[in-house]
Amino acid sequence: MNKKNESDFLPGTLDMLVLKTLSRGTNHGWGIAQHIQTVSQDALRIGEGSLYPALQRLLLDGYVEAEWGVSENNRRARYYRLTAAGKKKLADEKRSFEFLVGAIARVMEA
Amino acid sequence: MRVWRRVRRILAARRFERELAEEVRFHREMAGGPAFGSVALAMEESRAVWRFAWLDSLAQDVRYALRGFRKSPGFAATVVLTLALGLGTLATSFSVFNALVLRPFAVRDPYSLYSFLGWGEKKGSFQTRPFSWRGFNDLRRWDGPFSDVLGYMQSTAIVDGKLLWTQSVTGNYFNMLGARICLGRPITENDDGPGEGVAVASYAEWKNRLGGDPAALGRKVRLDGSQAELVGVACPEFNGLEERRIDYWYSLAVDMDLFSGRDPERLSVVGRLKPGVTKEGAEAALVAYGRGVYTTWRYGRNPPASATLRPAATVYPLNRDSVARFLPAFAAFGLVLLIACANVSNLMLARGLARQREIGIRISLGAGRARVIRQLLTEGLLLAVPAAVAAFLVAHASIRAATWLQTDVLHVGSLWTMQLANDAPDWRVLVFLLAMAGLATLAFGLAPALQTVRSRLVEANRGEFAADRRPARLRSALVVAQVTVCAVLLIAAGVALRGERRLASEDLGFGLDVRGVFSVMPAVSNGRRASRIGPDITRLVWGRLAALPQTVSVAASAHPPGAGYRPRNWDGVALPYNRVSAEYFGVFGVPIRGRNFRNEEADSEAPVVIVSEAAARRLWPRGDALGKTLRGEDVLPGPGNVRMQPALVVGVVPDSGFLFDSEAPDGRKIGAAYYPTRLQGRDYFGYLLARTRGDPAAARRAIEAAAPLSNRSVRPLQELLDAYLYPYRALVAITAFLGALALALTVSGVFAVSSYAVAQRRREFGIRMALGASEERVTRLALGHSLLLAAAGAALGGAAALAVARVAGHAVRGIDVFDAGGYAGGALVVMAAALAAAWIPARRAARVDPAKTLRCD
Repeated sequence: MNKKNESDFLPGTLDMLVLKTLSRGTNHGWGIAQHIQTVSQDALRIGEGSLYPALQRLLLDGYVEAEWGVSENNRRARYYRLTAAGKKKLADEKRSFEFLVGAIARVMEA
Repeated sequence: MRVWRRVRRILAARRFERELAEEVRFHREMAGGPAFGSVALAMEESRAVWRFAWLDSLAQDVRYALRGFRKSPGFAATVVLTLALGLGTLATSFSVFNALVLRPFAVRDPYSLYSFLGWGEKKGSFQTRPFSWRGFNDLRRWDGPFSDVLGYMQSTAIVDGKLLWTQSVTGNYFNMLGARICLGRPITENDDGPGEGVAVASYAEWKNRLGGDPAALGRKVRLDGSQAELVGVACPEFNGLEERRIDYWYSLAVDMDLFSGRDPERLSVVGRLKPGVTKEGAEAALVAYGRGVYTTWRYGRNPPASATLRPAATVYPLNRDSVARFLPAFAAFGLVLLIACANVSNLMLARGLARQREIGIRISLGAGRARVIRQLLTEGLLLAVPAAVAAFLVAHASIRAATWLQTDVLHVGSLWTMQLANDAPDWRVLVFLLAMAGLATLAFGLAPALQTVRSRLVEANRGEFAADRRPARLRSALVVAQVTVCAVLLIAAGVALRGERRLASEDLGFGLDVRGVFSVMPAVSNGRRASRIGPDITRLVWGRLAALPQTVSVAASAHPPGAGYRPRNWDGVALPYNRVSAEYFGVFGVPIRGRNFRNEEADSEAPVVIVSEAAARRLWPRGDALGKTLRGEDVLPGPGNVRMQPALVVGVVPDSGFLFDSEAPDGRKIGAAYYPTRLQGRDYFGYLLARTRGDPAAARRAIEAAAPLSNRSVRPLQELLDAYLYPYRALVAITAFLGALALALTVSGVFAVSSYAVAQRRREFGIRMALGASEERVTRLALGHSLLLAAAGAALGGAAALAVARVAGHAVRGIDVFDAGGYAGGALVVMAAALAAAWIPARRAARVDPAKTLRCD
């Protein structure tokens, strides 16, 4: 049912990055992509082909909610907001991600 | 939650679509020009998140299948039609089962209703004994397992030549059942008791005969010497608690002497169990009740040991017996479906092979085998559902046609027509049909599907699969199965037909001609209802009949011929008997060995007896019956059996199935005994038989005019004979219908398969002809295979029919289930038909132009 995550990085991490971005406040799709790109210092560039399926997936699972609003340049845009379930999901994801990264790091440094 | 969101998304698909598009467009503009990836892909992937994957692939399969059907509409139409015929036939028999066993009557809480059949002196036995008015009221007042009890009497009346089913019912009938009245009022307890009777008409009766006129209320309904005021019309869904549609319900008042001092026992009873009371508990309580009343009731010599209730929610309760009773019919009708399925299976197989290249490509492109099989099954189901719906219509039409045939075309003894109360197919039939259609698709679509995907990839891609013999084998097996089943049905039809012919001609014996013979129940009308009073009336009517110019001879008998009088016990041999006047045998032209009764013997009811040949053989296996003495007792209801006077056998008459009720369940003749009767005595309730000459209709009118009778008692014996033969004729009609249908399906199946085989072997035939084989030889070659299959099928069918006859043959009375003529006929017909079906493709094979075929490949 869940199509393969087509981002270039570790599978499943795109959802986590989106959730993390939204934990700073509501944002629209473009804003989310921009935020991730900026913060990662252009290392992570996210195309519509990955971003919107991911957002739809999060909507379907009930981790985010969407609402139409007005963007900073006065355009209609869909704003996404983290739900309670989304917050919990983000915490879970973060924990398992840190566990995984830590494990990989230990293997690499051994 | 997830599922719900999905469903919402699918329901509001257009809004979601619009919003997604706008969102992506916004993203594009913010990015300022084309970003990476295609917009369409992004949209597609986003959309895909929401979908049910299985639904998607199902929709894909459905679309694909529909596209395939559009490409070959002939295939789809043939499959749907074939399945519809097979399923429709089965559904017809299921509809009857549904009407009799499954569908409850349209009353309140039908499953708490139980018929009280009677008490018995042994466990598991019961004697049917109706209740008197007083006995019924006692039962109603009893604070037992029933919350209420209703009583009814069944009777018939002939109006405008049509037989009506009527019931006299107690006043609580409609109220207790909760049967709705659509016009006027029901019969109520105020209508109980003597006085002017009231009547409620069935909806159909009101619509058809009374013209659907609300003003019909208050009109007097005159039926059969009695009359009553019409006070109500029942709602269409309520047709009584009987197998047959009830046309009128009467208050008890119309029965002349139910409330008289004689207190006659006429009421059958149905009770509604109190909540929480089980059938067994109620039966136990009834036994206790019976012990209290059996002495006053003269029920038997011993207090009752058992009481029997039967569920009255449906005509027959759903149990092992009722299912077993219908099983042969289901099997016979199901066989037609089997043949239809074999045809469909063959069609799918052929189509599957034709599509093997396509399927091969799909598999090599990465389609899973499971997915391909699922796709083929989806195709099957897509064909099965419209087939089921069409079959529903077929069942509807065939039941209509059967009813119409019975009532309007055949005019068979109107008493016997199967006018089922609720025979129209309903949702239960549709559910059954859908289930059967699904099952049929699975069973007969799966094999071809598996066969198709089994082929090896490389060959399939090249379109070469001649090397694989398995499909050919499967096809042959299907044809053999078809011919087998068809042979069984045709043999059944042949055996039934010959049996009926024999019964209708030979078995009546001695060139018996019943045309022109009328049976008359001597009666006069006392204004309210026909009443029959003893010997004076009988003598009077006899005299008048004898004086008619049309009359040849007149005789009297206690039972009418063909009525099936009860067997009595004679020297340990159960034997039916009749009491007849000396003229009886003369009226029918029965030759007597020995001598006839003398008139003075009849008048004095002398101890003499005439037996039929079969009875003579059974009673005195060695030696001649003439001059022997017959002892016996008559088993009457009530205390004690009446010993008959030992009687001297003075004559022996031939056996006749119709006249002498002489077939044992195993088909052996039972025979009958005849005692002389006189027309005197207190309770002479008998029949007069008059042989007439000239136009039967004129004779009937003369008889009806001559005797002060209610018209229903004059019946041509031909009608009784028809009634006697009716079950056999019905059997012939049904088996012939099934056989014909099976034959048609088989012929089309054989034709299709041999055509296919010839097409496949075109090249081989071409080579053979190029090498000098004659046309005749090629024809024979092509025909040979089909002939082999047909012969194998016919032989198997004959064996199967023999096996069935051995197991189930005893259920069919009076028909020789091992009749060689029927077997040979059935087998020959199916073989001839199969050969004829294979002939055309074989001729085509012979006309193959070798040069052309060889160049083709």
